[in-house]
Parts: sequence; structure tokens; C-alpha cells
Amino acid sequence: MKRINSVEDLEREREKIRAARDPNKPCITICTGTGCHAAGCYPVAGALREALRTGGIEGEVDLRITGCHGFCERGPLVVINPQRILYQRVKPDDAPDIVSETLKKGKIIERLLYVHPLTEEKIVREDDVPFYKLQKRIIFGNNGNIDPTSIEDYLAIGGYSALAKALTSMEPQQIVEEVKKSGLRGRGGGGFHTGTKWESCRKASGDTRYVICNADEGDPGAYMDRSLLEGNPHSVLEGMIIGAFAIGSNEGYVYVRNEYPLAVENLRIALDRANDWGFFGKNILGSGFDFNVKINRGGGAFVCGESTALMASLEGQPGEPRAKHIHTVESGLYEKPTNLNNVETWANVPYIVNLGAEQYRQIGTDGSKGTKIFSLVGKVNNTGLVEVPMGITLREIVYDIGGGIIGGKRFKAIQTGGPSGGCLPESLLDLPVDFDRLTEAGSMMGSGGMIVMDENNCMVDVAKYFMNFLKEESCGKCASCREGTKRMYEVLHRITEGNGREGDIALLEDLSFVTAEASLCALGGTAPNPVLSTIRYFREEYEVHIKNKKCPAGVCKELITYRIIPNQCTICGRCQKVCPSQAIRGKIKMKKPFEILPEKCIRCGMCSEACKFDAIEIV
Amino acid sequence: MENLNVYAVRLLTQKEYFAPGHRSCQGCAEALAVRLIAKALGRNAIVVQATGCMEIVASPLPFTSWEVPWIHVAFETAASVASGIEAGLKALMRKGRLPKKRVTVLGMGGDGATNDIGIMALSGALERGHDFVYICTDNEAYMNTGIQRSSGTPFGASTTTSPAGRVIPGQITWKKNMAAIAAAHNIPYVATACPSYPLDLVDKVKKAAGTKGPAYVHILSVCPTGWRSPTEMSIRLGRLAAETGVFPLYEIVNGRYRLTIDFPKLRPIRDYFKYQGRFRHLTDEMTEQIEERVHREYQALKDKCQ
Amino acid sequence: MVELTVDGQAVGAEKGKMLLPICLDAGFDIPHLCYNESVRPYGACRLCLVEVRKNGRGRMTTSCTYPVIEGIEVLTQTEKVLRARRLVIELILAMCPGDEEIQEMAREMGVEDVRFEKEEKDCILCGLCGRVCEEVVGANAIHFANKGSNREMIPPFAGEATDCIACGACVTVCPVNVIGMREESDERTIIRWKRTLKMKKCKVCGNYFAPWFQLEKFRQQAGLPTDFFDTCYSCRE
Repeated sequence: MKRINSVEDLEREREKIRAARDPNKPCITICTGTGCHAAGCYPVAGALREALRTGGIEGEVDLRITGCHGFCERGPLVVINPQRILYQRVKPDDAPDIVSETLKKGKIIERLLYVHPLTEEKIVREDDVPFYKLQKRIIFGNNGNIDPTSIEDYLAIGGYSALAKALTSMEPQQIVEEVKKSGLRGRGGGGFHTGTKWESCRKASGDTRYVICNADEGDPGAYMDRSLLEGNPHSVLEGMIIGAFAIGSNEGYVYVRNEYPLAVENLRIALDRANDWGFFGKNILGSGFDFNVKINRGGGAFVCGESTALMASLEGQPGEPRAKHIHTVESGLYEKPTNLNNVETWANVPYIVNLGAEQYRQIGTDGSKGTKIFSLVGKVNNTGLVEVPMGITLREIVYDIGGGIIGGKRFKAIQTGGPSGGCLPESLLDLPVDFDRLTEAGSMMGSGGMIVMDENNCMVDVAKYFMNFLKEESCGKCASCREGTKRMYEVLHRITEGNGREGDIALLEDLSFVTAEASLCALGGTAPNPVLSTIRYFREEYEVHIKNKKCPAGVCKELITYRIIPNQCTICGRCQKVCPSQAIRGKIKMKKPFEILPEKCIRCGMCSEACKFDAIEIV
Repeated sequence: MENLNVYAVRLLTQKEYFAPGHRSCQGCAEALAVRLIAKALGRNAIVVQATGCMEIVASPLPFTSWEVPWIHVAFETAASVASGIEAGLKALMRKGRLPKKRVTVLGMGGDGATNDIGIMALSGALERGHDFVYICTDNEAYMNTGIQRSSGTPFGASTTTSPAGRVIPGQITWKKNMAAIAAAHNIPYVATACPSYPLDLVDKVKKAAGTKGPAYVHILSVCPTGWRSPTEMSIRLGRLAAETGVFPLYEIVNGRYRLTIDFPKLRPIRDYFKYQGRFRHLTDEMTEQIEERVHREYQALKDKCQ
Repeated sequence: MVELTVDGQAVGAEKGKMLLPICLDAGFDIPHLCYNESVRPYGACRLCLVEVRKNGRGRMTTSCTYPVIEGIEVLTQTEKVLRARRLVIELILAMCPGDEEIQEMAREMGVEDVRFEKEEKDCILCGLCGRVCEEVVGANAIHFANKGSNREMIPPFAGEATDCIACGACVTVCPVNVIGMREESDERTIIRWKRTLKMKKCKVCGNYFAPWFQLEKFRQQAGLPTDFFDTCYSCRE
């Protein structure tokens, strides 16, 4: 491909691509995001290709491998365009049917449709599925329509038009103003106003400036950035070029986790293709603006998601944060002014430039504009990635989009904001989700993790889990964070083991204070959130653990015993078969209810799961 | 410690509490010693100084080199004033009139002020057990008044009041062992040091300051003026004094002796004498006699270190 | 020059200087373990916390890494600061209960005992030795390894520190004295880094005066003649 040297050339090429495509030509898109990949989308894709060939309609139907559609719970997902028929949980064996029935005869295959869990109505079109219907997918929506490795796909949906607009008809300062006006706030967790940040960086003294895309997403259970990079890397790159132009930078970096091989791969392909087309390098689109991006793979430290640690890591130093009394926009990477934004923030930029700040401001609340992608996981029916407007309530996310709690159990808490976020209880379900409201409630937006918990989750155990993660991932520089998280884990551990002491809650509060107040970076500063928020909203649960040595949720192994309820035991022997430690006494012949020997029981819960008659209880 | 002075000395504070610009002679090792002492003690110190070289050079009215509280007192009273200040601080802190913090009270004098004129006050202060440090900066004669002998002048050294002539070979008495006298008070810390070994000196002063109760540090300070030695030789002379065994570097912590720098083989004493005009007149025979006694005393000290 | 107030007292300071040395110079006692003016401030021990008020907003920060600016109000003894310091020293003491310097410091701050299980570490992970080795000596013989609670200061792969010149700068700078050096006849060992170097004997006086490896390194760096270090400092004419 020869470089495009002007906006006119770009539009001409775009028209060429569009002209070569028939919008009514059937096209099967297969989601190959992380969730669908795990569910086995590639065999499905292979089977579909094979079926198309044997069916003899190979040339008449396009087959497109796309990034994540978001509805991971129901993967592998197949969408048939132009009708937008959604088939879920497709298996390779279904491929011939899809070809012969749907594509050839235009019939819907009922068994592959999504069934509404309440109304039991079968839903045909993707957009009618409640999971998608209530979302506002301005950033994430294109994932399902394009092949991430194909720049033509991205151009066909209007890609790089924002760049063309920015380079030719806008002054850098004007772009900054536009972003400022849009109210876009950093999606990586800090929630700092992006426009303000750009402006400070633009005004900082020095010739060399850097822009960085932070794709070191390390929160357990969060994969928004990953899916964006895997599914639509060009949108992120386009945002970066516009940002660099606005700030006055000629060099950029993408710091991406090495644990995301597909994201790295797709990003690299996207970068190469964009380079070929002339969206990078010298004199981009004939505007005289030069910009290059390098991809840097992270070494797997959670703390490298912190901006100064990330920059240290980019420089080749150990990934440790440093004091930010002089902001990174003034002295960041190699002590030069550096603007760092998260993947999702960058992906928002083309949208804002294209449609203008006014339109963007329509979405969201007073303090938080636009949409936010959340990864909704845990004990919720529809796990997956959801993009919702700011200000939506937690209830809408969990019940309307998420489809409620698995097995109709009771909602207990939702953990937002990754390991440093907090757990919010049922009473706060109507809390509108935006940066400020979440912080007020003792949690945070973070990068957008949402873990739903039901009555079978022990909050002390949850706090312990996150503290374990944090103590491992603290860089260890600050004594307060390194020792504080370790000691908090220790205290939580002993509470869950039944060795909790009077005053342990106060001790945890002391430790939380010192970890948050005395540590350097945001990791230490927010590390106590899981503990503090669970103490704040679930104090009784802690007290029961400490005083009564009981775990109400039946999670903490040392505090529970399994018991067979004699009246309900049908003497089937199932529990005895699955018990790994021969802790269940009884014989079917004896016709007497089985018994669990407490001294042998390792409290694995296998028997309880195996019992079909709910005859095993936790006391 | 002593051999670590390649990079370790750079880790000493760059803050000067004994400022440059004072009027000591070229090559004065005593000024260097005081500078190191001041660095070792840091900001929370009160210095009481008897009359002597260091008082003269550092406080020409209206200037002073001292950046910590400093008081000049009469020749014999450094130790007694220091003990008074220490007692006063203690009382004021106890009554809550001063915030409780660690303040080092330092009494300082030369060999004249310590060995001769102020020995009574010093002995009393050591005996009373005040929590203070006394440092003697010993340049082996009354230098600022014109190189008169003191009881710290070594055997054979020529001074204006012990001139070497045909009959008398300079100083005819052996140098008073002031460190041993201090040690005889059974105080918790006694040490000898020399600015040619700066880390060792700083370490000892810090230890002295950290000691609860009285501490005494005796510092050999090369004086090019009085010793009639080239000014650029001051540091080397200090090292030679230690290497020849003339001025062994040791410390006594709660009665336990330890040589902080031990040499398996002592250097011939001639190496030390040959750079100094005050010993120029000594014959080989006398040098050998001196060497023999130095070795004997060094051995005796080593025996105590066992 | 900028003007600031520390505990109500006006203090002048050079612009860009860090707060801790300025407060110490002005006579305010702020405990600290990982600060040394010869190396860049690091902020690992978190003991030098103070409250800084700027434009009416106050927050707690380590004074060693805070560059002074005009008009700030520094508070070194507020209840919040003291509480945080006490907790930090308690955490450090629980990690290294055997270090006398830490015990003493804790006692001064009013911490007698710790509420946690005592560990048996001795290094407080202030990083001074490594930073001195890098910034002052330039040998880069040791560095932090691992993260979180597994963090430790070690030679490469926890073996012998093969770049160590046994200068002992780390030994002197260590605030808790746990590195240790041993000199036995013709050998010098930096105990913690498992580094033993042969000492060079002076041709004239016969005393051992410095490690071979170190002298050889200096000789090469400075381009000195091969026999330059045959004699010790005292014997060199």
C-alpha cells in the first residue's frame, strides 16, 4: 500500500473500500474475544468455513473474525449480518445447520437463540437482547463489526476520519479545548480531566514530549482494555495520534501487558498497517505532523499500571513509583513532559473529535461525561463487558443488563474498581455510577472491574483475597504499603481461621490509616479500600467471625462444619463417593442416614455439591 | 573502618557546622579534626571551648565559625561549664521548660587546657558522671602562644621552652597519657583518634555522643607550625603516628580495650621523625631508645586488648 | 529563595531543595532512616512524614521527597503525623525486632511493643546501600530484587556480589548496621554480600592496605601505571 498523503486521498481510498463492499451481502461475524476464545470459537470458525465450502456458497458469504462483542457468558457468539441474527453458545456441529438453514433458506435456528430468562421469549436480533439493549456502546460497539487485523474494515466504518478532521481543520489548542469541553475524565482509575492534563502537558516547557497509552491492565477480573486492543486497536491508535498532535508530541509508547499476547499481536499488526497507510511516520496526511509509536511489553507487575512506575519501567528501571510533586506532564518519561492516558480514554478521543464535545456531553452525569466500559463478572447471569452511560445505577447494571444473580440468590455486594476498590452493599444498589459518587461511597471507579457477590460470599474472605493480591503486587518500596498490606492480610487471615482477637477491627483500621496515608502511590493509597469498605458496610460479619468464630456465609473453612441432616438424607451414598478424605461414615445397606466425621472432614464442600436433596448443611 | 575512606567519607554530611574562613594556620589538622567533630555531632550540640588554638582561630570578634551554640570559657573551666550546662538542660527538660530531645554537650580543649590547666575540672566532671563528651585536640604544646611545652609534648621534641641544645635534647619527660588517666575514672567510653583517619574519628565521636555518661576522646592533631613540618604532610604525619605506634588508635568501651587499627608490623619510628623539625636534633641512639619504649607501650596496650 | 513556615516558624530555603534537610537544619526533629544527602531522595521508610498545607489544602507527605515551594505551611508534630509515624515504626520494628537502632527509635516515639507476629529479618529495606553503591561508588554491585513482602537487597542472583569492590560505603551508610565487614590478615569480606577480596601488601612497609580488585579497578579507570599501587598511601613518596 502506498502512503496516503492527503485527506482527499484518504476519502478516495475509503470510498473505494466502501464501494467494493455490498452492505447486503451476508456476513457471518464470529467473536474471538477472550471469553469466546476460551469457549472454543476457533473450532466454530473452522467448521463454518468448512460448511460454507461444502455448501458451495463460499464466495457469497463473508466470514469475519472479530474482537470481543461483550456477551462473554453466552460465547462463542455468532452474528449473521445484515439481519443481525445472534446465535449464542454455538458449537462446531451447528455450523452446517447455520449454513444450510439460515444462510441458504433464511430460516432462524431456534435452539441457538438467546432466551430471555424471565419471559422465556426467544430473541433473534442482537440489538434486542436486553444485555445489549440497555448499553450505550459508542466505543465498544464497533468491536463486533470489524476484523481487528484489517485496517480496511476500520476505514469502512469511518476510521481515521477524526484524525483527518483534527489534522486539517483544527488547531492543536482547539482540540485540547474540545476535549476539555467534553468533560472526558481518565478511564484508568484516576478520573483526572483529560483535557486539563493535555493542556498542562502542552504548556510544559521543553521540545520533546511523550504520549503514552497505558495498557497495563492488571486488575483481577477486568479485561476492558484487553478487549479494546484486541478488537479495535485502530481506535486507540487514532486517539493517540490526535492527542499527540494536540499536545505537540512526536513520540508515543503503548505499554501493554505481555500476558495479553493477542492484544500485543493485533496492536502490532494495526500499527504496521497504519504505518503503511501513512497514519504514522513523517508528514501524516500531508499535515507536516510527525508521530511514531513504539509498543512496549510489560513485565507483569501490577504496580506498573501506576503512571510513574510505568515510566520507570519504560526507561528500563525497576517498576517503582516515584513522588509526583512535580507532575509527569511536566517531568515524566526521561524527565520530559509526558501525557499518559488509559486505553479507553484514548479510544474516546476520535468519538469526541468526530461528533464534537456537545454531543459527547449529552451522555453521562454532571461530573462524569460519556460512557464507561465495565467488566461485569462474578455471581451474575450475564457476565461480560458492558458499556454504559455514566450515571446508570448499579441496579440497572446488575439486574437489567447482568440479568440478576445466578440461581436467583440474594445480592450481597458489588466490588468495583479492582483490587483497590471497595465493596458496596445492597443498600447502595441505586447509586448512580460515576467517579465522584463511587469515591464518596468508599469505593472507586478504577479501571472498571465489577465483581458481583451473592449471599454465599464471605466479605472477610473477599477482603482477604484482595489483600493477598495487593501484598504480592505492592512493589515493596514504601514500608507502610509493603508491611501494611502484609499485616492486614495477616490479621484478616487469622480472623478467617477463627483466631480473631478483640480489637482486630481497630487494628485493621490503624493499618488502613497508615497504608493509605503514608504510602507514596495510588496502590498504597487505595490498598485499604477492600478492608475499609467491608468493615464499613459489613461490620457485623467481621464481629461474628471474631466473637462467635462463625462464618455466616459458610466460606471460611476453619469456621464451618458440614453436617448431614438425618431426615433429608436419602442414603444414596453419593456424598461418600465424592468425598476425597473418606470423612463420611455409613453404608447404604445399613439404611441409616450418613454421617460426616468432623475430624476427617477437610471442608471442601464436595459432598454438599454432590447431594441432590439439600441434605448437607453448613453450620 | 579506617580503610574504608575511599567512598565512605563522601557519605558524611556536606553540611558544615564549623565553617571555613577561620584563621588557623595552613595545614592545621586540628581545624580538620574540629570540623569532623562538628559534622559527627550534627546540629543538636552545645560546645564549650577552653582557651586555645581552636578558640582563637574560630572566634575573632565579631565573627565565628561555629554554627551550633558555642561558648568560650577560661582555660581551666571547659569541663566544669560543660557539666553545668548538662545539669541545667536536664533540669529544664525535667521541668518541661525545654522540649525533651537529645542534646550533646561537648567540652573541648587543647592539650594544655586538658592535660595541664583544666585537669582538675575534667577529673571532677568525669567522676561526677555527667552525660557529656570531652574532646582533647592534642597538638602537643601551647601552640598559639608560641610553642611552649606542655605535659602533652613528647619526649625529645624541641619547643621554645624545651629547646634542644648541647646539654638537653628538647623535652625530657614522656608524654602524659591523658587517655589512660580518663580511663582510670572508669567512665563508659574513652578513645583516641586522629583526623588522618576521618571515618574512625567520626565514628568514635558519634559513639561518645551516644554514650550515656561521660565520654572522653583524645585526638592527635598535627601542627605544622609547632612541629616544624611541611604543611602538606599533616595527614601523612597523622597516619605515620599511628603506623609507628607513637599514637595508637584504640577505644575503651566499659573497660574493654580494643585497637581500632592494628598493624601487624610497626613502621620504624624514624619515618615519623624525619619530617618534623622538632625532632631533627635526635641522634640515632636516642631514636632507638624512644622506639624501644614506644614498642613496649604498644605491646602493653595490645596485651590489654586481649 | 522561598519562604515557608515550619510549625509556625518562618524558614527560608533554597528553591528546589527537599523539605527534610531544611527542617533538620532549622532544628526540627524529624525521624528518618532512608535519607542521606549524598544520594537522591527515595522515600522508602516513610518515617519523615509531615503535613504540608498549600492553598488551604493539607496533606501528609514524606518530607524527604517534597521540594519546597513558596508559602507552604509545614506541620511536623500533628496528631495525624505522629500516629502515622508510630504505626510505621511499629511495622518496621515487627519486621526487624532485633535491630537496636530501630528499638531505640521506636521507644523514643512511644512504641514499646508490636501487635504483630515478629519476623526475623534484620534489613529494613531502606535501600541506602544499593543507592550508595550506584550513585556514589558506581559499582552497582547490589540491588533490590522481588516485590512486595519478598523484596530484598541482594547481589545478583543472591550469589556473590561480583562487582563489589569492598569499599565498605554500604557498611558505613547502613542505618541498622547489618551489612558487616571482616578483615582477616590478607582478606577483606563484606559479609552480607558474600564478597571476599584479597588485600594488597605494601612493598615498603608490608602492611595490607586495600583490596587488589579495588585498586586494579581504580588503576584502570584513571589510567595509572601498573606499579602505582605497589606502595601504600603512607609509603608513597
